[in-house]
Amino acid sequence: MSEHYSHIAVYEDTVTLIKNSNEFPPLFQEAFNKAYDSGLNCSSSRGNHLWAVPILEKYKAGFPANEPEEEILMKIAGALGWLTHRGADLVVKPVLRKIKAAQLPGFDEQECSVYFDAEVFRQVYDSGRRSTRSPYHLISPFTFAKNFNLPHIKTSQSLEEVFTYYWLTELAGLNDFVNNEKNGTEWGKKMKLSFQEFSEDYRSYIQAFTAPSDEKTQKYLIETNYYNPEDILLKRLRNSSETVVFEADLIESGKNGSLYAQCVQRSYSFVSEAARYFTNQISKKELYERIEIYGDQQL
Amino acid sequence: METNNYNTNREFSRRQFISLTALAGAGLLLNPLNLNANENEATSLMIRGLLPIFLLYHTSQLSQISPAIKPQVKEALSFSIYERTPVNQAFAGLLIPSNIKPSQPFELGHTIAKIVSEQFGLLYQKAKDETEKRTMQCYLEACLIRNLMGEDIQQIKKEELTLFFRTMLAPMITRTHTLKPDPDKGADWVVKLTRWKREQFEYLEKLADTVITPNARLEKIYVAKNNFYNANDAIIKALRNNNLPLNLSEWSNNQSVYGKALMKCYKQLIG
Repeated sequence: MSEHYSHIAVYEDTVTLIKNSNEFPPLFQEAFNKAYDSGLNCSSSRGNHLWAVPILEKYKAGFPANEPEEEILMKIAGALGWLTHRGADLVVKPVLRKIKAAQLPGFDEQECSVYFDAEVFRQVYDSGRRSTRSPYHLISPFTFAKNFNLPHIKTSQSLEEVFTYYWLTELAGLNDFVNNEKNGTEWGKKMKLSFQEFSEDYRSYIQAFTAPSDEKTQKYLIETNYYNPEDILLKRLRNSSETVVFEADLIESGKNGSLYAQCVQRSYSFVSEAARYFTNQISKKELYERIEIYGDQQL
Repeated sequence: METNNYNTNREFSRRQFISLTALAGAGLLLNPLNLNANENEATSLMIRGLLPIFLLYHTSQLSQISPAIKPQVKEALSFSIYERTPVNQAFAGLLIPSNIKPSQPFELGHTIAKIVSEQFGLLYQKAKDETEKRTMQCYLEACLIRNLMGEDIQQIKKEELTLFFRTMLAPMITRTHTLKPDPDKGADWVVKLTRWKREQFEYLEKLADTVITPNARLEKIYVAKNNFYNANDAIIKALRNNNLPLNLSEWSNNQSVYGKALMKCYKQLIG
């Protein structure tokens, strides 16, 4: 599973469980309080196997004097967000691989992911009536709407084109080599690897939400048991308040629930393992194994 | 229930993509830009934000309606946010530092970035500090957005426009599938991305406000007095009318800074 809305939702639900627990280091809680958006950003980004553990390793021993605390908290939150990405992927990717292997005409794993996202938008974000908890990542009723619910604005597509390319360029500009690589050929090589492309057609997301096919809903959401609102863990999450405590066996029950509940439980368990590593209860090698990063991928 | 098939990406083969990318680059080597040999501070200033994006966007649109540009180059420069297109790489070219010689397929973007520096660098230098620079940038960008929107400006309130701008960011990320962190400095990238998004969210509200309800005094100082944009410029009218005469002298009369910059970009395309 590598779709945006599903990953950020899993991050948000996982953090809800963590925030209402006393089992995590105060530093993790502080990172989520002060840099929640950093974790959310990384929860929907690549690179968890490269960056999550090295960040935790670096700051486990303490904060270097020459690094601002605010930035360290961002990095820690980012590392934990990356772990939720991993947890969710490990649950869902095998399901998507099966759909791909089945090669049924008219169905594919990419479209299945899109349906997953549309379902998350419905269930977790209440069809856009609820946004994320970050003030810097907006979900609104416009998000899955044709023409962003602005049919009277004839230039909405042109605006979207300009802003989409603007942000694409800005994001590419965040790479360190952009200003520091002096060799033109090397610059070009690095940019070709780094530059993002539009591999997803957003119209398919809007369609999956506004006009889903019955056949595809059956195949992608019902047969996979993607999101079951009756799962006890998910019911509690959807009705949670800041002070609710989630019992360990409730969280564990996610293992036997719908795919989404499993994603949340797995992500929670990965952050729990990170907490054990951070407090010296397990070694780095053990952490890698428990978050299922093996062999050469361990750094 | 009938649904549309949005699987076009998978049919755009890798081979086609590479050849079109090369064409986009080659098309712009026809007349290499020769800027001032001695680059002063103004012309070496990297100007980011929406201004270079708009120039590249409009240059791409001009290429689509120009009778002087070959079909293969038109295709290489065509815009789409629904699929991979070679023009994406042109945007990356906007980021090349001015002292680096670009390789294909980043030529177009790099050329436009240099035109932006040359044409607008002196404007930006008038700002007394970073805060004023940012305000000026906001006014210039708002002007471009307002002109793009045309009559739609009357149909939308400031709060709705802010919501629209901010809402577009998550779909933009979704289009890329997932974001790629800096391959060498992932941890630092977390900080950069966080700061960028926070600044961007604040800026989008300010931008929407400036688009809908600009301060008249600041509009005069930054837009009118600088002769930044003139809707009656021949090249801007040609874009609006989707009509580009073959004879350059018919539409080379451009008075505004933006019109002149756009004309320069277009001349790079046609040689």
